[in-house]
Amino acid sequence: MRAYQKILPEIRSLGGELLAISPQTPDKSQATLLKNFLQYEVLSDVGNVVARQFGLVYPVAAEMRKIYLGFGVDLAEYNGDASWELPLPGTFIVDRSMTVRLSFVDADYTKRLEPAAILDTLRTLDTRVKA
Amino acid sequence: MAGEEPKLTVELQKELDGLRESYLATTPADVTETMQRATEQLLVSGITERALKVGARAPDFSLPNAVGREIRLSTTLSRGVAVITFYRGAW
Repeated sequence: MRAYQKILPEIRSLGGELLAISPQTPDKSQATLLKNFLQYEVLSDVGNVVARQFGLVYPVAAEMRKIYLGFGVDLAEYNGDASWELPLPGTFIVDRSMTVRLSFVDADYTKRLEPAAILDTLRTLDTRVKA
Repeated sequence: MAGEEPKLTVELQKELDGLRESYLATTPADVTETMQRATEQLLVSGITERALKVGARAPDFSLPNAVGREIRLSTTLSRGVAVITFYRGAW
């Protein structure tokens, strides 16, 4: 989240708007926003409705639920539903015609899209507009 | 335009790898084994193949932001390109 905050000025200068989406309730999103000094929209997708449309939702395995609870993370409370479903971390760039221009999804939660790749794609789109 | 490359200091994967190392050093082995197994199960489940791909049409959506105001994708797109990132939560 903070990594995206770092490149936010560059995203905006390339004509991009950043939207972060999680299944957390708006209250929890607000806490995330304030704690991390984020200056972009953090949206609440309770029930993973939008994440499902992007093809990212999976059920948390029973043995993982125990681990989350052991960390003090009760997803039912954080997310306002008892489904124990989560979205895979994923990043998409959508152009003004609603077409996906970059799609990055990783089942390994420790991997994220390098923010530089986002800027590279935005630059490509920028060039197309000017051409 | 030589020498005008943006000075990106963000090396996210390195930061994450560092976090993972310190995490592995401080977490019981049975927990990390379970997490590793769950990650592998996700990878073989083919879930990453189901995600929207380049060239697909994104669904329009409207979701509340941190203060409860509805933000619609198509409205955002009237101002520019959208970078949409899904995260699980900050616990």
